[in-house]
Amino acid sequence: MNNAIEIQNLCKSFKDFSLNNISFSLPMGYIMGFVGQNGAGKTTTIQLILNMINRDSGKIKIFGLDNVQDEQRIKQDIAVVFDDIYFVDSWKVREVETAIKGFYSNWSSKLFDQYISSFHLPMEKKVKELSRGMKMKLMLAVAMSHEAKLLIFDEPTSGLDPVARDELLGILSKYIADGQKSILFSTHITSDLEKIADYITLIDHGNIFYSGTKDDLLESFCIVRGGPHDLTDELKKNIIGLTTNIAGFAGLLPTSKIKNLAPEIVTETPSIDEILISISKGEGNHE
Amino acid sequence: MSNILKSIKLDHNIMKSRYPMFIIGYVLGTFLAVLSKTPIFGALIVMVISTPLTGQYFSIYEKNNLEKLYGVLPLRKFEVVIGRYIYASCIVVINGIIAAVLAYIVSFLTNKGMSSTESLTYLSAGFFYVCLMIAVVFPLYFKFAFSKVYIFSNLPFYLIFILTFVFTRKTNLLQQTSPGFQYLTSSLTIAAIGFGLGLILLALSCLLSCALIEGNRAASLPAETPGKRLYFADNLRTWMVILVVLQHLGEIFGLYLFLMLNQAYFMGLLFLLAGYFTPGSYERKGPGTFLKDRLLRLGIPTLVYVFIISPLEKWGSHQITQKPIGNLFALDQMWFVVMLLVFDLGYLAWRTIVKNRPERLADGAPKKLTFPKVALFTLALVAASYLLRIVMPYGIPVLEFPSLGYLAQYLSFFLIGMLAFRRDWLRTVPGSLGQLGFVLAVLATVILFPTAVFIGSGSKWIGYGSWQSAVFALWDSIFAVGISLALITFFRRFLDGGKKFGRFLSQHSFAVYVIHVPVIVFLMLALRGLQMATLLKFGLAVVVCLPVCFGIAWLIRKIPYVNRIL
Amino acid sequence: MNTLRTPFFCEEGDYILRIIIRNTSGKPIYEQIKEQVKEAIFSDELNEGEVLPSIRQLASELKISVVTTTRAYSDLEQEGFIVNVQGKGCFVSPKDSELVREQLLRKIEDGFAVAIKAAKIAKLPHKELLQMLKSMLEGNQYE
Repeated sequence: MNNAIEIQNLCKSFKDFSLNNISFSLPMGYIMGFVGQNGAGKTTTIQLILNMINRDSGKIKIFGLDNVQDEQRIKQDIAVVFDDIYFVDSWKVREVETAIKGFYSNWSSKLFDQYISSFHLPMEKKVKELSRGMKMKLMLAVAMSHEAKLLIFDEPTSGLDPVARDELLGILSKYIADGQKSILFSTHITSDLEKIADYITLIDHGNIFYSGTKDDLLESFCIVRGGPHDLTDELKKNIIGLTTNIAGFAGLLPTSKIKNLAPEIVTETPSIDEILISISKGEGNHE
Repeated sequence: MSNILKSIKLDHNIMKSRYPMFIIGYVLGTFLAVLSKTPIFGALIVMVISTPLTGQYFSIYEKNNLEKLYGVLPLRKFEVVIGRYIYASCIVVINGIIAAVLAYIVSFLTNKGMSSTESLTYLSAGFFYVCLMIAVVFPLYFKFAFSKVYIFSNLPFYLIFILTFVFTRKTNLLQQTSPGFQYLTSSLTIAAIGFGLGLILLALSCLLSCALIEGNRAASLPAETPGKRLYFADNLRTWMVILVVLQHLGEIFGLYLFLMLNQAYFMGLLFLLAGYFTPGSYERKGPGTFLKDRLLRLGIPTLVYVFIISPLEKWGSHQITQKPIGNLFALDQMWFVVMLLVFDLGYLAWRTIVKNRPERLADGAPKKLTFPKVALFTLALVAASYLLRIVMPYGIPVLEFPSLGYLAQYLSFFLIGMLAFRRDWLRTVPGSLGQLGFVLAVLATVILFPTAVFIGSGSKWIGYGSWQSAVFALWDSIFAVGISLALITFFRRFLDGGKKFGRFLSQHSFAVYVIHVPVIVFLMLALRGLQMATLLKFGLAVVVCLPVCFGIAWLIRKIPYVNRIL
Repeated sequence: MNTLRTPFFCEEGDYILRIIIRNTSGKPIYEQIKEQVKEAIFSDELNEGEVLPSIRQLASELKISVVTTTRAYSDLEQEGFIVNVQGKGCFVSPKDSELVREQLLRKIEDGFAVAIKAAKIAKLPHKELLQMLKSMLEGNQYE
């Protein structure tokens, strides 16, 4: 079993939104960035993985086991950090551990105490008195205290200042250093992922636009810019997310289509942000 | 089930900040106890007040996004639900006990208050009431957000409680006894009923909540694959209908032993078979067509019988025998059809509330029917039948339903039939279980039946809580379950062929059920001059009546459009 | 900009490996790593037989993707600069291996090509170019 997560043809429809044939895999020991606009389907996918809602069709396998049939076994080794804290706000930090630890056979109080002290979280403060960043760190401490083999983050950094975000990334890269743990990191703040993510899955309006290594993604696309006269018809066909103004045009082009470009056209490696923006603009342009 | 315990512990951790709120109940209780000079009412108030406080859990749940916590923890949804119910009940019971003890102490010290029987009655009524509140309110909380529901959910109960309280105090209702309650001499019985019914309500509500919280699952396949029709089930149904005809003949001839043995199982088995085919029919047709279909095929024959066939038959036999006409528009044997229709509508309502949830097919290991499960079910049936017969004894007709004393069996067999469909039990139940069932049924008949019926004076065994009634319930439950298993396995082994004759019989069996009464009556009237030994005449009647019934059924079904209904 | 100036402990003792990743250079990160490791090897900062940080260690320290460091190392291995010993780690290859020698020769050729191109633009005759080379070699003999 080499994949921490394996999703095949996952479908779920709601009244005004649906996930269509979502497929991607996360091999063990790596970080996958799960990227998309707000409302693209990231949280829904995570809820489906956790069996918080039921899927219409498709397969979800965690550590090689079906996520519904072996739900209990799997959840022993999964930890989740959401954007909003899910502990009772009248609990003290100490009481959070008391409430949670009975559920996990691999819980280590020592680890929990270590994380609490290294995050500088006061044991006696109530959850509702913690700042946003401290709340996230508390969820993180709980998540990392039971040897979870899969960490799932659902927009954990929204509302965090850059210092806290940087700290988080440092913690995460240390966490997977032993190669046994994997992380699914869903976010719309892509700068967090630019360096640290091994794999990227891009989701747009319920469809997977891309799923593979981040390096391949950045090599598969280029940002092209040129003057208004450089915009050929062929280019218009292939370009994604075309924007034009009086000074020229810009857009995203698959690298395979770069060969016949005029030399005046500037190409450069895109950032994940730019890819995201381009595909959300240019919905009709690609398949 | 340690997970359920963990869930309860978590509930406690979540609620503990709100525990001080329970003081309100004690304050109000003390106030009322002083006011009415009856400490036990204080205990009642404490119990009643503590109930909506258990609903506070859902308020905390909503405010703190706890659905995410529960989504993450390794807990199964039904474990959470069961844990919640147990936790709520414990809270209420613990508070009730504390309050009751305090009340007793006070009552003992001040020599005021009511007798222990009366107190127990009030306490068990209070417990029942509390269970009713929880049973109604919790599924609402599980399905909808707390903030939207809590105003509506609690208010009616308070009103009811206040009204009932005032009413019973004013009119001393407990002193007046209705006919049924003559037999409820023991306060323990009252307590048993109160607590028992309360627990049953809680269990049912818990099941509903589990179903609601599961929501939609991945689509399942119907267990009945086309082409693999269970012919033996059809043949068994035919045989049951034949037994019905024999039963009515037997009534005319007074073969009481045969009648009682039959009665113990044959309608139940018909309900089981009906229940077996219901879910598949629902899923194939969808709710709208299912409803129409049932009303058409069950409702119309009933109406035709009650308003056409029955009066004709009664009038006709009156003309011949000059005996007084009883009820012209009688339900007679169509009570089965009416009850089946009610069960089917109940199933439709359930599926609609639980939002068209296709239940799990046997994914992975199918849950087989084993002896311990059967034994457990039988014991539960014994208890249910015994309790039921305290108020609805055997053999006393209620509202044209002749055998409501068997209601527990009918309903449970119907449900078992549906379960058998989901788990494919009809095909997989081992033959050895059928043989064992037969042996136990015979043993029970030899040992328990005479004990219940012949020991003690009069007909104590028909109900009203006597020990003979308990033994009788034991007998007929074992007999019903055992014979049913035996018949199923027997028919499956020997009578599973889809032969033409068998199929002809089974196609017409429902029609026979509807029309056989007038056929029998007139045939017997025709033969009434014949002098013969009873059993011989009975045999002759059988040989004559059955073919005639099927023949007439065949003729009727030849009328256009009739075969869509019958 | 991420600078890696981290002591990597091995049996022989401490040493310092210098890898600087430029976020805005436009060059893929794995390329940057490769180049700088090669530079370190050529300039004797890394000696043969020395152990490199593991793929995951490097990724964790630089806060970059493991896939990236994996790619950098496997490319380096293919090109003969490092050797991956299963269970022990990655070691710097002996410098006189065939592939390394080839790479160095190519580097020399590239350097010559640049010089020749510049000479053409400056209209420097070949003789004078060769003279420049000779005097530089003699001057830098014992560098």
